[in-house]
Amino acid sequence: MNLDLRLDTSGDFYAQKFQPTKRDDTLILNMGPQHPSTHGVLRILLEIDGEYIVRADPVLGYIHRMHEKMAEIMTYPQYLPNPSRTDYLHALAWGWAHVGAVERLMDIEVPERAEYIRVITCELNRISSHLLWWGAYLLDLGAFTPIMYAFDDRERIQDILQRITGSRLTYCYYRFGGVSHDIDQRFIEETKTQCARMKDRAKMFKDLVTDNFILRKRVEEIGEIPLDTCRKYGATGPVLRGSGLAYDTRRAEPYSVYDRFDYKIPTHDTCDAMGRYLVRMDEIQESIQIIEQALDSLPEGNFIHPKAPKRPKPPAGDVYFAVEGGRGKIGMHLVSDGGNKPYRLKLRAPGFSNLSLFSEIAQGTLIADAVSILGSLDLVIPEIDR
Amino acid sequence: MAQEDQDITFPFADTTVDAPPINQEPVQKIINICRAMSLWPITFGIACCAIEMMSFGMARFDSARFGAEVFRPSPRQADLMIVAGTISNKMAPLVTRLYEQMPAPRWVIAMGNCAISGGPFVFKNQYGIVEGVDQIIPVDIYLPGCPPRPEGLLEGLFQLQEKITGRRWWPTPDQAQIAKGK
Amino acid sequence: MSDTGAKPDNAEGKKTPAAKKKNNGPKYSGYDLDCFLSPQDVLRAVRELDQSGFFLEDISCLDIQEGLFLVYHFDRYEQPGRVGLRVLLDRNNPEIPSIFDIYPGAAWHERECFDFFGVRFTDHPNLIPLLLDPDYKGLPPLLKDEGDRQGLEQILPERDVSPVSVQSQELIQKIHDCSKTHDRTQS
Repeated sequence: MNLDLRLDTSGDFYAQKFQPTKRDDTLILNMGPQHPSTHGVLRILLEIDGEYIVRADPVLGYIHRMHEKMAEIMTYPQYLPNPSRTDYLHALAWGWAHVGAVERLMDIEVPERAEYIRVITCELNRISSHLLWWGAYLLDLGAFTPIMYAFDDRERIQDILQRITGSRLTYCYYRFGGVSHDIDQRFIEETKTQCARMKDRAKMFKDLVTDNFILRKRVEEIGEIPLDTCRKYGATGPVLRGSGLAYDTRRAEPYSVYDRFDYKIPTHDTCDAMGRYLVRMDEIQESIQIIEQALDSLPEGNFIHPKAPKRPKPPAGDVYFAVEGGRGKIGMHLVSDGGNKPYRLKLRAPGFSNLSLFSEIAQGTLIADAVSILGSLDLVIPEIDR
Repeated sequence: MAQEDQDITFPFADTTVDAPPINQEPVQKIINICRAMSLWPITFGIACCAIEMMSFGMARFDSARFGAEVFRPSPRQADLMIVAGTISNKMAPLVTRLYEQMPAPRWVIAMGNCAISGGPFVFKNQYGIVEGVDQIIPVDIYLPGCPPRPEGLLEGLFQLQEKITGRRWWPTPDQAQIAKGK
Repeated sequence: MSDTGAKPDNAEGKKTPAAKKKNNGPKYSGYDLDCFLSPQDVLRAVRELDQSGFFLEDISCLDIQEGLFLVYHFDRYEQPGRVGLRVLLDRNNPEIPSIFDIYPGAAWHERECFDFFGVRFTDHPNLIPLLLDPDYKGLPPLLKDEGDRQGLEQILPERDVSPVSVQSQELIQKIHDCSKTHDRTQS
């Protein structure tokens, strides 16, 4: 056993950078990267005074998987499965961002039916992403039951999606110009049944969890993020909407057929973790509204453009395409030099900006509250590390 | 092959363990059955495969009925490490450290293509990941898939139980005959 | 500089090899205001953007023949419209002031550019590797090989890439007015 390494008490590179401004009476504690509540491999260096956090500094990169480098060496169709692995919980939104960026650059028109299918599947994926967030957040806070219910509902959604996409988790369903397979009557009926069921379940979730006294004590008035802090750090998604501002990429930069549906942008202006929690629960219901409207008005037609390029060679230029993911605004900056591989593909992950405000708002909180704040930010670390 | 480009500088985990206190075969056989029926995994979900591992622990697939009930956050209290996700170069020394912190006997399931061989993230002159967790820790069961279905992970658990005890306890899938190559 | 982003500026009417197809650029490129700046003007422009209520989306970088090409993306919550600031840095001395004092969220974006391209942001509070392993000894990974680099003409054809002065009232007015005004059919 190499005792020199094992007994190295000065810490590694990041701990050494963190240490110099430490006070004499505080302790430096590592939270992660293997930790049940950090939702992936996130390491947070904490300087704590008793139970209170004096300073917090997240350390990233433990799941850096070179997505941007891979984009430059793989052709466009070869890269299609990659965005799903970035944020596997809302994989279809990342896939949409990728194909949407190429479609925007090449001015490919997507048939109407394909747009509706994309909206329905993306919203179903958003519901399953929020369900998993909900279950995992409550598991962090110590409740073991809600995650069981969340996964029950989630499995049903996964059954619906796996018939047409072929995957349970990391969907690679969208293609340049449409989707890869059409939906059938069975999909429509199952989705309608599931939507009706989710509306009933919402009441149970509220009684069991949202109105629960212990949850309220652990989540209300925790992690207050004022609106200006959100803006300074570029936070989007439920983190921003929980601070009172109704900014949603589906309304701000309309893409696809979202402007045909009637849905609200839920906001809560309490700025705390409870606000973000309620925003996500409301978003599940709004997604159900969108799905039902889309199913009712689903047009016939092609599910992919008949002349969609199988091996796109976009013209030289650059575009930026943004979609609303479960965590916030997903952006893809695609720069093409006219070849069959991107010159540069920059992935803008919402979690990256959302997590960067953690070190500011975690100061002065209890460690247990820091866990609650992290859960309320809804982080998926592979999208932050890309 | 991409692996030749990669210069692994991470030391392999230290696998020396003490001999068991009662080292007689009939006793060990019974104890092995007890161990196999109550494998406690460590909560080591790294990336996408972690979600399928969570599904594996939840109500539909329910690993608890096969003994893998309690996911322990601390490696000191776990005996099964399911490596679910890609191991980056930054994470590799920590994986080794976690493995060495697990008390013996301990087992490793490499879940998913990334843990087996780097998965979809292998390309020429890649700079960031370890191509397969068996470069740094010894692996008992390899479980392909991206991600593998929870049924696949259950099958991996059954094969691990077979490896520990010497016989298979649960019905085999009808389509595949498990090759008993020894 | 066109503020609709639909057709790139083609003031001199010069044709480039990339334009031999009917390439007038995409109908809508996602940018509502696109400007090229010189490195010393970035702070002033970003202050204007902060006062107009923009938030920082991300800071990206490209490796091209002329040097390292930084791209800042900003957007607004109320009156949404995307602004892209593009800055060309010298490859041998890629330094630019950090915008951390104006937008604290830029700290991580700048560390990422430092990691992958080696861009040094002066006055950054903590310019250490964010995503890469500190023990990684190679060149910044997203830099391209000499033969793979393209020039600005190849990736942004028929665009006026000369830096615009940030003192001009016209630019400041464009920042205030920036919004998604034009009509688009589908993405």
